[in-house]
Amino acid sequence: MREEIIQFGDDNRLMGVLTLCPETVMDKPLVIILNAGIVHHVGPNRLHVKLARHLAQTRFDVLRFDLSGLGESLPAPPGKGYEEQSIADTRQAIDMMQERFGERQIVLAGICSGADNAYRTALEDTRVTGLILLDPYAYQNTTAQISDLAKRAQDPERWKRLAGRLLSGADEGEGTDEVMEDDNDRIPPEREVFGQQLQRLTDRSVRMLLLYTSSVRHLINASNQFQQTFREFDFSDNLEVEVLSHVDHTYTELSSQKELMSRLDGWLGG
Amino acid sequence: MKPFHFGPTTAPLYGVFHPAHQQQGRVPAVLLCNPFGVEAIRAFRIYRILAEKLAAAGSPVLRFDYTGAGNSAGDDAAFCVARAVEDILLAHKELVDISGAARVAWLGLRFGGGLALLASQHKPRGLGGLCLWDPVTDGSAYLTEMHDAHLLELSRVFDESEKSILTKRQQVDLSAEAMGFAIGPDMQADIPDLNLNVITERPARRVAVIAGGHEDALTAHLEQTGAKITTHQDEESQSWNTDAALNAFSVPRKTLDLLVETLGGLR
Repeated sequence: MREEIIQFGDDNRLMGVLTLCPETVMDKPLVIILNAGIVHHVGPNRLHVKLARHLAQTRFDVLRFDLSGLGESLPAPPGKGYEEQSIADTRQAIDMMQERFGERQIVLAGICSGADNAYRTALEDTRVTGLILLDPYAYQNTTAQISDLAKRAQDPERWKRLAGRLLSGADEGEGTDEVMEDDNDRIPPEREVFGQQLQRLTDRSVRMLLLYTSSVRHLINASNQFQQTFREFDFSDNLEVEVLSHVDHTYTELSSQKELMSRLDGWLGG
Repeated sequence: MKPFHFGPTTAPLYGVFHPAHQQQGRVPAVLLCNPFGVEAIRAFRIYRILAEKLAAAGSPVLRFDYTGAGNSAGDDAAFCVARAVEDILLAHKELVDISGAARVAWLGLRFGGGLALLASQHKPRGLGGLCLWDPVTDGSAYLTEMHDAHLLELSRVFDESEKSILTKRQQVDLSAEAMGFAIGPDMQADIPDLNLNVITERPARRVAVIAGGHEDALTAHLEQTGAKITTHQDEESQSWNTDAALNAFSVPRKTLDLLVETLGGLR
């Protein structure tokens, strides 16, 4: 496995690191990992480095890069909004990868806003044939709400902790049940719109893996809830949903990092 | 700004060189020594902006990742105190070679402060000053702090008691990880080596300490080595070290200005 620093895009403004598998495998897709929030291309908990190196060992060529103005990449000239610029940057990453490695299939991967940007790019760019979306948009599901509340109510320690925080005058917002780190300032599309967009992608034979963690447990905490929420759509086998309720948003525990890699191996056919 | 690999070709280190916009005769080159683990991820943005400000003020700057950290070679478990100290010395030489600077100042943040102190004992040619920013000077205590933070974080994100978290992880070796990063056997073995007792030589002629509030023993110890110590209090100097700050664009401007001024004076 070898790594190469690469600058590309308009004026070589974008910077990334290519992690190359030891031998070229033309039938394997190229994998591109997008920024999680505004964390640079190393990723939260160095997760993007670990993923890229793991995938390279399983014979994928991987790029992790910084969008304009993030990490090591320079800001873009004014004119485009955040979403538009993110799509433009990601498409430049795809251009660079296909110029370098040939017109192979493209899989985009990202956590949180990285998932959002991957998904938005896929809607506009038919070269994208796969999406790995870690904590993508999630929608209210009554079953999830009820089971989450029931689980919480059974934990006596939780009430003690809450009372302790209130008595000590700690910040009321911090750590209480309603304030989770799920979606920060993300504004999801309407449920119907998201469903229609996923339908467009599955109809285009884009394969998708959606992994939800505990950070959205109040919205989704079992994989069948996704089908319930989008029951009027038929995503066929191209869309897989899994809920990892024992995993946190940024895969802090080493066991969860290993589990993620193993799950990706299975999905990518590494 | 030039990102590049340096060091051994089999296990390269990742570095980013910021050439000085206008070389000033008496301003030192600056080497930025990263913290460890999650703190290194959180420090990325402030280090990048600081490097740009220092370069604009006339200092060539090198920031880099240790073996087993960031973009450098090696998995998490490859990181340890002894190797990180070697990496600092290697990065120092690289900075001298590419910048041609006669004088270099090091900035060490948190664990990077402790590592910089250890590396200074090797007396690299051209090291003129050290700036220690909220430095870690007791490796064992730091590791305990990181393990405690790990447990607290899991308790927070899963909204479960620490007792419940521990019960569910009876089969997990929690000493081998902290806050998203593996703590390898080498690190577990050599982290006690990071302590003030091993600092017997003057680290540099001038040492500046950006205080986190617990540096009295450090400054007293360093004064005994003959170093000229200055301390700077800055109430914003720890504000970068949270998940909230990691996900926000803001950086403590006053701290940056203080660092540029302090490092510029370490020649």
